[in-house]
Amino acid sequence: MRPAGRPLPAFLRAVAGLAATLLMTGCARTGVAEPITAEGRRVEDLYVVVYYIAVAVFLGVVGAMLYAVVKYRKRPGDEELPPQNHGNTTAEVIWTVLPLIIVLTLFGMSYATLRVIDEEKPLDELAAVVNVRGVQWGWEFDYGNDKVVAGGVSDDEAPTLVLPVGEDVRLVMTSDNVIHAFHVPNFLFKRDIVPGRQNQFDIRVDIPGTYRGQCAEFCGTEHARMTFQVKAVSRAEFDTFISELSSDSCQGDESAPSAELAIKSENNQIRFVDVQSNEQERCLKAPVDTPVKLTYTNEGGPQHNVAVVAGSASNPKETYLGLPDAQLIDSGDITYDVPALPAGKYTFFCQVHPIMSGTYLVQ
Amino acid sequence: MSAAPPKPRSAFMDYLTTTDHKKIGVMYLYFSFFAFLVGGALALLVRAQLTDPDGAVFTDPDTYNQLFTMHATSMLFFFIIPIWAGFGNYIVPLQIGALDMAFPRINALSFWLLPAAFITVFSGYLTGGGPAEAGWTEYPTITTGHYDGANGHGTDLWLVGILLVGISSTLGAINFLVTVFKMRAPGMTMFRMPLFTWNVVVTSMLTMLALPVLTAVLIMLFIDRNYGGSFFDPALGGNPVLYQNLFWFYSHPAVYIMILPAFGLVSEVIPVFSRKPLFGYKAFVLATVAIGALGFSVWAHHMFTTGAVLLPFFMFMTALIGVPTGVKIFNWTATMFGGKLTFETPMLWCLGFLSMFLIGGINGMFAAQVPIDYHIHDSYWIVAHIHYVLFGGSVFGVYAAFYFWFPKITGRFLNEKIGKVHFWLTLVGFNLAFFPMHILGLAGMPRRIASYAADPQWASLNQASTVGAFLIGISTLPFIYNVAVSLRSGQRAGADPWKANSLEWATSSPPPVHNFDSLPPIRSERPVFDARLEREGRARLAAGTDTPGATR
Repeated sequence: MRPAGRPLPAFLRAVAGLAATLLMTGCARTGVAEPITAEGRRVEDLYVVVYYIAVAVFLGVVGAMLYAVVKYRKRPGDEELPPQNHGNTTAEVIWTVLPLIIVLTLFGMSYATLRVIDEEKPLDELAAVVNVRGVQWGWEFDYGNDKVVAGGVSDDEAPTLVLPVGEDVRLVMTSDNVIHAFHVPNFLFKRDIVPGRQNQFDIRVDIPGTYRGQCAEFCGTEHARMTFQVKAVSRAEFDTFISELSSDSCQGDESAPSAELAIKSENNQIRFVDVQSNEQERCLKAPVDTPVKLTYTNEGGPQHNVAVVAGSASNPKETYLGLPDAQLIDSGDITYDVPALPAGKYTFFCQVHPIMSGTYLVQ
Repeated sequence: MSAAPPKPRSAFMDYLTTTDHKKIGVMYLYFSFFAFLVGGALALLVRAQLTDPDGAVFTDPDTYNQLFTMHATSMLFFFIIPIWAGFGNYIVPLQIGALDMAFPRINALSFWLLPAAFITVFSGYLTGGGPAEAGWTEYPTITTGHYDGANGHGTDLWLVGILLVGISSTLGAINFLVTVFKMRAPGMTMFRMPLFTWNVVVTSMLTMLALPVLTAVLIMLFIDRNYGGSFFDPALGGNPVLYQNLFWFYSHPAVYIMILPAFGLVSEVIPVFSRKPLFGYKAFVLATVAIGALGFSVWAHHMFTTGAVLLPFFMFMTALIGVPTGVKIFNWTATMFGGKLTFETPMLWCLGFLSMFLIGGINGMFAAQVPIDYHIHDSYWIVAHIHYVLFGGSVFGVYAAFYFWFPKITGRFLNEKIGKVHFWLTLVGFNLAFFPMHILGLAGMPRRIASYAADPQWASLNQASTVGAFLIGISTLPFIYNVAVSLRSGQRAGADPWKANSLEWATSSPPPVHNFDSLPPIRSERPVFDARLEREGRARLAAGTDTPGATR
């Protein structure tokens, strides 16, 4: 044991100094998701400032503690009381006022950053306004004019929000029924999606690429898998994407309309699949002006039903088949009666999990 | 004619019917520590699940969602809040020189409500839908509608159980306040009270003022769920954000309820093992009251991302509350400066507390800045923050309290060697479990997720964290063993084994039923220190090894 009172050996002090230096300089951005938006870079800059203050405070306080632990340890055999110091008002004032100044400065910087992030641009400066809808458990990105990208938890690929690079976009968010949150780590940003509220924010993605996003407010059983992607592309690519986007899931489907339709869901899945191929079913075709028998099989798991509406699952204009007639089942078969409908594009979906939806085409 | 002496009761009946604050305190300690072990086991299952991106253990996400919900519920409502009530129950009447609490029978009621509440909440596991599963926060509209995620009876049982805990705490708070205001021994002015008692007082004021709001919001949620209420469901004209405002109006002060008694304990232990008084007693009292008051003004920092909050106000107040907390940390450190430190286990735990709680305060400072919180809210950064303050702060404080007051309660020391093993295992396991979560949060890993298949690169940090969690689990074993062995054959402790300051050390270990045979004069915040100094001075005078008036 070192005789008490000798300072730490030189090399230990050097190691401590090196560690402190590294902490202060090398690690400031460690772990932070790479910001790809103008706003995100401001957030990262603020983070770095707080990081330096944090490291300085931590090293200062822990350093003082370790110093006290070494310098003021009781020597064996020394039973005399140390000076019984009750306090020092000057010290109290100093270490109240100084942190107060740090806190206020930090507040000022954060406030300035906040103004930038929460700033909304005038409508005519926006390249696009996308309505984002959070549902249990998936996402709908509605570009307007019936151009919707929708996808959810049981799809093979997460739904993609396509945005133009370098341009301001507004995301207007609504919820189906529970609170969700729109979070893209590379935006260094999230915003809750609250039923009954319309939360919106403007964002500008500066770096093309594909980025991950997911729901960040607990929303039930499949909260963990409620993911999406953001794809930032050139303006030209974005325009092409929009013009080719259609919410008609029957595009490219070559099956013939039938008055006897069948659909099923597999064990514990939140999607409809074709009864033969087990592939995701997004298109049902029925003949014009003919009543249809729709047989649904639930192979087990949560309750589902099949509803048929004009409009979309989130915005039904008229319901042709729905609760209470379209009963929920959690296992077995049920046959629903869909009334005769004129030609047109309708939507079929599960009323418990509206993300399970597709086009009901009458032709 | 004299009546026959009453038949001695069995120990079981004695504890069942006691109104003695010391016995009730001990029951609180046993119950709360049991809840800690239950919560800990649930945490180990949570961490086991997250070792694999697809979820290593449970294929059903609902099971996982129940686990983290019940983990937090057990820890917050049945461990950390009650255990300080337990230490408070045992120690506060002693520290103020009182005979018992002001309302002994209500004191017993406060305790017995807790096992009843625990059974109520956990009986959710016996229902078809399982226990509560939407997080310990149970936000509508997940909990109001019949949406997948929280529509079973388990949530209703949870609501009733937590209501019972609220009643228990409210009664206890009133009891503490009346006891301290009305039953202090002569000479014990408010500004001579030990810091632990001061912190229990402020904690009790927070409890008394904040809990009614939680009681109300839980009842409102119960009405929405079961009686067609429309407080929180927008489809019926309600507002889910209202729930969050009411919930956090209590639950933020609640976190100060969880930490203030630990602050008090640390303020007792550091001076004892530094052999000098607490640096800045009055500043401590002021800082405690400031934290209590400010604690009511910050609740919406849990809601920064809702879009429904006056952001500058709450950001300002949240940042501000760091100042009195910092003052305390500086004062504790200053107490050690110029002292003569020894490192028995209570002091080790306090040093751990100082450094770990410091990290928790610092990472909270990040979250206080709204633009940064926009990124890290609901992520693993927040999980890191809450565990650095709750475990690194409160739990380290709880362990310090155990090692410090075990000799007083039982008349025996806890074994020092085993205690040191316990401390180092915990410190290492704790940091391994929770430090990586800062990085996971910055990378964007949300909390409350049963799997993270889309981000397999998060697996290695999660696995490190799980190893740390299991180390924490292992670290409780030496402690349990230490308690069991020391109860039976620990080294005997006298009235004042640590050479401490406050009145609980002025009586035997354990104290008699009536607490004190006599009280020393109370002329400062350290009556036992003063009495000991005088006694030792007189002894030296008598032995001729000292001259009158010499200073030591």
